[in-house]
Amino acid sequence: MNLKLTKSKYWDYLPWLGIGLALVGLFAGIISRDWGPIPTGLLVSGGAIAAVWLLSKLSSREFWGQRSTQTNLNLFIAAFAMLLLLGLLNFVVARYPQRLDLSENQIFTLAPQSQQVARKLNAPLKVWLFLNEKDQASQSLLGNYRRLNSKYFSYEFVNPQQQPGLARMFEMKDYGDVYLEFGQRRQFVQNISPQQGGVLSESKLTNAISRLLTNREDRVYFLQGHGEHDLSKLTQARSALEERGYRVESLNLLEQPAQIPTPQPTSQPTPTAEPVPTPESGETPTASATGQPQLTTGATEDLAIPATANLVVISGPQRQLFESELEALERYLDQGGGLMVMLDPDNKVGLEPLLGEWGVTLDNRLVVDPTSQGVGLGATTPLVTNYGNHPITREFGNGISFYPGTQALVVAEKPTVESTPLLLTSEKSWAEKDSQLPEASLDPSRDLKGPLTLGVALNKRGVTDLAKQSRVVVFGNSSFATDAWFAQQLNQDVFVNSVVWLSKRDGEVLSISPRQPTDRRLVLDATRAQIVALLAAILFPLLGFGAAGTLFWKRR
Amino acid sequence: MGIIVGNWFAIYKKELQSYFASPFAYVIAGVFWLVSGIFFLVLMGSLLTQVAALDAQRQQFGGPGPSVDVPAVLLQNFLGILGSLALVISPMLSMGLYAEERKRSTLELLATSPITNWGVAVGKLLGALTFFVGLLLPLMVYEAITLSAANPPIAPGVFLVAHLGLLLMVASMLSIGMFVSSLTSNTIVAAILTFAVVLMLWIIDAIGNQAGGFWGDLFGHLSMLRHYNNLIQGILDTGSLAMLASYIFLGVFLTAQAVEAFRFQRA
Repeated sequence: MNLKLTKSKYWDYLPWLGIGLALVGLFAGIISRDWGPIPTGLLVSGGAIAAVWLLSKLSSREFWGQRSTQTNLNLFIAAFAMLLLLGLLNFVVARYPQRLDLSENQIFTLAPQSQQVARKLNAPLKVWLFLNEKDQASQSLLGNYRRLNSKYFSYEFVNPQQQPGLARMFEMKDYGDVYLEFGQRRQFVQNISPQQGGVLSESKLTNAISRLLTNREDRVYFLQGHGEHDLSKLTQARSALEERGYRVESLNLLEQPAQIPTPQPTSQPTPTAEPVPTPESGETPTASATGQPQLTTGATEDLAIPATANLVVISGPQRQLFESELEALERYLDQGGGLMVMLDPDNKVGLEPLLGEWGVTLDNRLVVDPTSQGVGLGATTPLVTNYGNHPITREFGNGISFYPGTQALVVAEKPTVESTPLLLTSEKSWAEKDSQLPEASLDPSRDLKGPLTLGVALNKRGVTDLAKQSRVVVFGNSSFATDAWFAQQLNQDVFVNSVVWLSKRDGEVLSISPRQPTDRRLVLDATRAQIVALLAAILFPLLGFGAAGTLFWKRR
Repeated sequence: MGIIVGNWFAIYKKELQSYFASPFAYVIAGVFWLVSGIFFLVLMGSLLTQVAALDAQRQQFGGPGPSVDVPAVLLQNFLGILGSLALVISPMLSMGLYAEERKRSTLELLATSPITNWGVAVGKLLGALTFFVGLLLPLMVYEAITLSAANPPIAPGVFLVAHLGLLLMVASMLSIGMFVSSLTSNTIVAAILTFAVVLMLWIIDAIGNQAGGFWGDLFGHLSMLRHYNNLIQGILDTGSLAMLASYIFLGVFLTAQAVEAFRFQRA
């Protein structure tokens, strides 16, 4: 009799103990991913205890007799069935989720280019992240990709210490490295270790994926030797291009070993392969300039742009190009090359005839835009929010780009050339002839009224073979791509998209700028701030406590 | 549907009346308003100071930098805190829903009344939820006053969706709390158990992150915190809505079953 009483007092709490132990074991096993003795032991013992209790209940006849048992059983069955039903429902919904991003600027949705690249995947691609900390932002970004293509896109966080073999396979260098695996190929994306505060960047990821998918290496040559921007001033542009699978090199045509010198007279020193001193005029150096009798090497090889060049960029030259260089460029273009010319005003470099063939004339007057002053830039840094209908600029909408110290371009129609203006300034702008005056104003007799074209994209008409179609993009400014300005607003997109178009990656994903939230401020004047402070910290709490106090007092 | 839910309105009114007549409820209101108000002011102050420093720096060095949407950041951070506050007070709001009835032995009356169990459960849940809406309204008032000073002005969309998210999540917590409350006659036990369960569903997100693969996804999806975070950022995801609605439905369903079973239990 006594035994039975003690049994019934604590016995019915047994299942909770069993379930509790089993849950602990389950969680332990799941978290450590190691179903060793402790997790399984807990799971098994918990399950056993619950099972023992259940069996004893089931076997006792008196148990089955109680009505409470029946209704409890009904309750459990109904609950279980409902859980199953809801579980299934949510599983289905989770599998095929629909999302509506109501945030402004849709910052939590992938850029259309990323969506495109995720959908294009037709073979398994895995993102490996060698770090422990799974930060929310990176996970939601990766989740966005996976939702678009759950068949082929997967990602995994790996602890490099727990899986050294995997780390070795990817040649992991630092903790926090992120790699892509696509078939046999591997690609480094970026390092997102928490110490460096790194967050997985959508543009880097999409670029790396598209690079894996296209498997091209294109070369961009930056012309040097005439005062162009040195590559050290174009580091951001360079890394943006390298991220997209371009190799960036500088090209000084006059240092090219394409010239084969003929044997020299022994008494005279052999000329070294140094750049020839800058001429004052457009003539080739004469004896008077060098101070020595001019040696002719009788070079028979012409200068040539390297055959591996996918495009050539001339960024802000300040001195004349040589005839031979211009001829090399012409030949290169004729064979279907791509050329980007960025010419600042007041620089005569001899490209005018070449540009004239394409219908482009340099206006050479400084563009003045009073609307720029509204955003804190000077009037000599025109804003562009109006873009041409061309693949380079098609997705820009009304985004902003700006060009410090630029000239306008005048584009004439040519029968062999298809031209599309890319960048158009506002109507309030004009090209100022007298830019030395402190106060600039539109003088219709001397100045050119806006809207003005600052950039134009040109391609030879009627060439069916894409490889042979020459393409040119001309800008009236070179500073917008330099390091101080490159990362601002759409400047980088203008540059990168032009490079992509010039290198004829037409099926490719064009540049992605990370989505930014709208820049906004809270402008609280003193009274408003005071009202809010009063309401929030004093008035409402007092209301609550006051009401409580009144009620207490009433009840007395 | 009408038959199932029955005359829930009477229960709803009664529940609301009991909240508004209870000094304890006002104490909760006072504390909630005080804590959230202080957090709001502190958040706003620190945010404005940081942004002012950033702007001053930008002025010096020139050129636009990364854009900051101050009202949006304020809204999100504040709602995050409100979520945690709701986690603490909703067990207190739901604990008495059924436990009081058990304590006062009025549960038998309810269970045998012409109002269906579902009707009672829905009425009580809506009563608790309405009380919470009452707690939320003053907050929305001074939030609106602050956010109307945004330059350029903000759209009301995210503001509304975010608060809707808060309401949905609190409804889930209250619903589960109501079920727990229907299991016991002791309100304190109900509150503690509710807090434990809801906290578990809150942090299961972190456990899901630790584990990977299938379990990670499962726990992540079960986590109320994850869905709440989606909603306060303005993301309307069918998965989140379905999950929260499931919790609400489950709570009501289980409560009705428990009350049904109560009829034949002793003590």
